[in-house]
Amino acid sequence: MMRQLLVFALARIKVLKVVEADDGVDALRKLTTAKFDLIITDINMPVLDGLKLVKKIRSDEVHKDVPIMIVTTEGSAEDRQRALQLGANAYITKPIQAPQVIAKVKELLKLP
Amino acid sequence: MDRKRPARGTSNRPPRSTTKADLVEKRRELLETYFENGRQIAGELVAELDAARKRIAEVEDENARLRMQLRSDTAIRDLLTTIESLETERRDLLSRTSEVEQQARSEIERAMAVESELSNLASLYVATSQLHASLDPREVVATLGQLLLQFVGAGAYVIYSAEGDKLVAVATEGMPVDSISDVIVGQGPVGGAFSGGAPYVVRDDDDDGPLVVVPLRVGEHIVGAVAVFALLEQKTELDPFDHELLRMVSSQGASALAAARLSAAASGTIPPWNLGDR
Repeated sequence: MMRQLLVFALARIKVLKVVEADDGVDALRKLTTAKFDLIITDINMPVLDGLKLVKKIRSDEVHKDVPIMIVTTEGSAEDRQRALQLGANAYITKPIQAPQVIAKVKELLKLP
Repeated sequence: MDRKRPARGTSNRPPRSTTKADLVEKRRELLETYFENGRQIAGELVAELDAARKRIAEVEDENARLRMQLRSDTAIRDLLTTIESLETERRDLLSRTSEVEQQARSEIERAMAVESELSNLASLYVATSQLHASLDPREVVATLGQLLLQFVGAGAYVIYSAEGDKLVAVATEGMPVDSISDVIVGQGPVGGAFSGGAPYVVRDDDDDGPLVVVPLRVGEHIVGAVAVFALLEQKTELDPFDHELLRMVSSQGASALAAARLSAAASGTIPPWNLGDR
């Protein structure tokens, strides 16, 4: 459900092309098919959670420097710190507002 | 008349021999004096003429200076007029700029409000479409739960399904399962939420009961209820859009759940979904 809302929010930035993944493993598989400019992930996901996904992305030669934004219900300072330490670049807690996501994505991609 | 004649030999008349020479001399002296005077007068006249010329030159200079000053004064007056006009124009432009800035700020605020409203509508659309995307009662309940967690920010909640006059807990998040019990319709904060007819009830008393109760009701038919006991750590209070979502949960959640239960009943696949049964 949140994914749909995110896709809606990202559609407001016309230059973006969004590729969706069902979970962490699906995301890793899709990362092998192209070079992405930004990765947005939840923490609580089936099969492979968001933090493990961040760790794997940071060890991937192609995507190790790609900005990663986490959108999650986990709002504690520890969770945030852990995610940032693992290499996430932004951490947004749910519930989200589309303008908030749009602003953060533009900031990460250095879009006007 | 008695005129005395001078005595002979004492007459004033010069002697004839000197008189002529004297006269010549006198005439010469007179002429010299005359020319000398004339020279002096001519010299004075020349000097005066020079002085007059000099004065004329001075006056002409003065005149030119005054003319220049007059032109300069006129130019200054013109410049002052221009400056005043420019100042007026500048004030007008500043005023206009301020108006335009105000207008731009207002437009930005309006655009932000529209974006926010669009985001809210998108959330409502996504939530509603997801609620009605399945005829499996468990999936509908799971969607209700995701909606409460991710869209409202409910950190602890229980979803009840109406079974006769009981509300049976069928899903929960953030609550120990053994602390949840079934509820009799009409009793307690959850069961009593149906009596007021409001789409949802926000409770502000300090007891351990739910913060929000949302009856799931289609017309007069009680389908279930949702009780929110705590919000997520980062969610400090319910905002106006959360109330929209709760209204939507009350109406759309109820009809989605009712439709799923009818479908399941028709196909004989009503799940054993009491939390205690799992």
